[in-house]
Amino acid sequence: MPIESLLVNTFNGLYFAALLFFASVGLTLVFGILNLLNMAHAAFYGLGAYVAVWTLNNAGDVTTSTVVLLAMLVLVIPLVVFVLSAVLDKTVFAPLYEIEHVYQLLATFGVILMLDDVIKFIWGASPITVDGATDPSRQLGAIDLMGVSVSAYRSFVILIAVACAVGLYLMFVKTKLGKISQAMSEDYEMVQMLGINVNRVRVLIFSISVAIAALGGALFVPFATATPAVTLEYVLLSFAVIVIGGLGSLKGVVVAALVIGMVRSFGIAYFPALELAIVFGLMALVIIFKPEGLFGDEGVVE
Amino acid sequence: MSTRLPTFGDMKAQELKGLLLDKRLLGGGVLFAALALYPGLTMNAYHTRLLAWIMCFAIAALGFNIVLGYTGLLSFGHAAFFGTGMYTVVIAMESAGITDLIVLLVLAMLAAGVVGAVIGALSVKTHEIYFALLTLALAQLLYVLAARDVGGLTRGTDGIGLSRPDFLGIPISEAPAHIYLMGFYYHVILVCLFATIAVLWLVLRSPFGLTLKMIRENETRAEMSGVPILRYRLYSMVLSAMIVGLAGALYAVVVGHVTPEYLDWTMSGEIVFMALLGGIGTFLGPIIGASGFIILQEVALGVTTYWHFTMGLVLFVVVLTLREKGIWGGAKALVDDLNERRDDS
Amino acid sequence: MSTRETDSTSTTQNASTEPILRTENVRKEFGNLVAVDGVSLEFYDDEIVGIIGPNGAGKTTYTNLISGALSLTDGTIVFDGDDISDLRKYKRVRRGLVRSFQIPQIYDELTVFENVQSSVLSRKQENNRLFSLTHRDTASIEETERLLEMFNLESHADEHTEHLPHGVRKILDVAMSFALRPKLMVLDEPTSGVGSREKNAVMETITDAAVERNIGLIFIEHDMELIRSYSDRIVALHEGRVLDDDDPAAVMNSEAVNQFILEGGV
Repeated sequence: MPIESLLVNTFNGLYFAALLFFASVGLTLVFGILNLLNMAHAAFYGLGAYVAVWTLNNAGDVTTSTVVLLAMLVLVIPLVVFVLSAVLDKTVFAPLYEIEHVYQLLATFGVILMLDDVIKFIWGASPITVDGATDPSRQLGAIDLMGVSVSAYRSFVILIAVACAVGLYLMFVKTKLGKISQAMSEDYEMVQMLGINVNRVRVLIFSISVAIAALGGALFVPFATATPAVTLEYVLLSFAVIVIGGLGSLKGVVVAALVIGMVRSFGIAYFPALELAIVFGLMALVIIFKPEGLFGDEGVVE
Repeated sequence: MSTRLPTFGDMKAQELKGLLLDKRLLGGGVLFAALALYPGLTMNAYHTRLLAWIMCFAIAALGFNIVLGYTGLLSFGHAAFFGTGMYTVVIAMESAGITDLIVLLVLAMLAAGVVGAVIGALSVKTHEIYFALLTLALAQLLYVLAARDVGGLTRGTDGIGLSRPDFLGIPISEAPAHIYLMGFYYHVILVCLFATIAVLWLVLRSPFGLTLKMIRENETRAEMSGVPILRYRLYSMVLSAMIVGLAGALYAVVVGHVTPEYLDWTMSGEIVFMALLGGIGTFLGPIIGASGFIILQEVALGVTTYWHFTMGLVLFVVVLTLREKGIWGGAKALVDDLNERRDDS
Repeated sequence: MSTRETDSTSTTQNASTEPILRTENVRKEFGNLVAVDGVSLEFYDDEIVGIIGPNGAGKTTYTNLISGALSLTDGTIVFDGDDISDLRKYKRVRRGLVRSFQIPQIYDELTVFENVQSSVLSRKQENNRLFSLTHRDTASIEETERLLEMFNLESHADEHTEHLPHGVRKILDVAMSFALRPKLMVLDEPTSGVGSREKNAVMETITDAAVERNIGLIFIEHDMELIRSYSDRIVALHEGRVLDDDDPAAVMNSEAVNQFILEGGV
């Protein structure tokens, strides 16, 4: 049935878009607000994936309750990574804010290499997967969506992504932190001169951004394996998303994630050989014809 | 507007004599002789292979540095040219039945030059990170096409194995592998490396090289001096691509198996890494960088399985401390500094 | 407000010579904003013309249109007898229409000598010579040496330009433009950032060289004293239009100019 496959592909597209959103939104925020081009951002997506597999597999001894497992993925892991990245911001990343973009790109490529081995050191080089007993995607099973059976867990991931996007939007529009961040994205020096502690804002924005990437990785693994290749794949995909959306734009990330999510989903279904080629082709076309991206000239939230 | 073809300048006899007596040239000659004799004297196949490997990447890093060090553009897509060089050799051998090494190398340089012209034409208008991201996207497009075997040329991720090419009609490929490498192929790479050094040394000190530096230093002024900057950026991309393509072609025979991984962005990253490690602001830096990178990797691999961490740390530290100077530039600055202090006291 | 006196230019010039540069009804719009609103002017290769006007009068936009940094919304630019309205920037330079910028545009990591030599080689369109060493190219070396002498830069020849004093950087910038052997030079605030005592020296150097080489000069300047002392003619722009175009004394005494520009607190 073409309608059915259309629905299934759209649903899968939304799921891919959700993952891409998690992996890329922090990258664009850190660039737009803090002016740091962090190639290693997606490495935290990879890290989140490993931490999640490890957590879920060890949780089996204590509980197999779906609610607890989901809470771990959505709350505990991002919180832990939030603290970790606050430390990293003060140490590894601190000197990078001062240098040119091209050098940021190269130094953070070094960070990717380092994180890659940290992961291998802790979890080994072979792919690891979630045990069936503590896999929330199996526990939740399928639900019926307009006559089509889809994964309940994937629906949950999509909802979390929507909540996260709305949450970020509200943060930028309603909170003091958000307003300062927006001002920083427009004029960093001016905000500094107003006597605002930009370093504290920096730590918060950086850590929130990284935590969201880890959240994406954590939510991703019940359906996939954690391998070192996850990082390398998502580095490129997240760059494609933020370039297409426009560097530094929240709306851009949402739209571009949706575009690429759909391209992947329908691409896999109809022209599997070209699915990734379309993504990079699109990325190249956007830089050639509209380098500011779809929404890059409009600030963080417009 | 003049479209004069590049010419060999009027090099007078006296200039030639001066060039021959140049200290650097003498040093280069000694190094060339030492490297040429090394395999025969030591009969060490492992070292020969390692040196061949280093020299291939030294050529690649030198070629890459035309774009980054001289024209001032960070390309994150040079794997496209390296991989094109490799695939050209293997496809020409396995599908077209061409077995002569010289023909293969020329074909590889031409093919890489064409890919360089296409990627260059699409990207020279963009700046800084956009140039980096665009070259990254275009190279990755090529990687994806090769990995998915679109067009049926590359056999996907399995890659293609290749046999050894002949040389000027001599069936040298029938020699055993280690003799082929130690007695012949190693020396081909050596000659290519020194030829690349000689050609680039001349080219980058010519008005053409000065023009690239003008573009790097101040695009507005270069344009206001009547330089068509986009065209010169394109020239530098094509020249760079051809040299990196040559490196890829030479390396294809060393490894004997070509896979899409050589087109992947991590390969581009490694080439950037090598140039930066040695110093993009210097002529010889990239060679030092390629040697340093490969030796470091070999040593780190021997000691620990976690060599990525070591490499990442080195890259991180080099970027933060030495920037465009790299190891070579840093060492030069240190020597100058020491000399100055000695003069002062 | 239409006190245009474009016709008066021909009266102050020898009628038999052709203008080196002529702009006809040149217009530039940015969205709804009209930055340059139909400017028709003529410039000759034996005169020094000062352009004045308050901020936002369209002076810089007008020079950007001449140099090709901006494209015309409407109008025509004729240089040396040819319509150059659609010509690329570097091609205008090659024809002899050269501009300099408010901030010196020089190559920081090259020496003063290389800076000037690069311009000499560019003028000769030898950028694509691949296999000849620049430091053995006697023709361009001799010409560079003459230029360094002309602008008193010999003592700095081997210095990297990063650490040069601002005034020297300005002079270097001008020397590089002269190396291009222009027929007409457009200078955007040639003395900005130069200490008040040095301003006259910089202007003397530029105007002397221009007279010696028979180069027409157009310069934008805020310093009315400088304008008065060095211009043969002054063009006053206001809100994208020509307010006045006459010899210095007449422009300085014009009522409109006094009302819109001189009292505008520039």
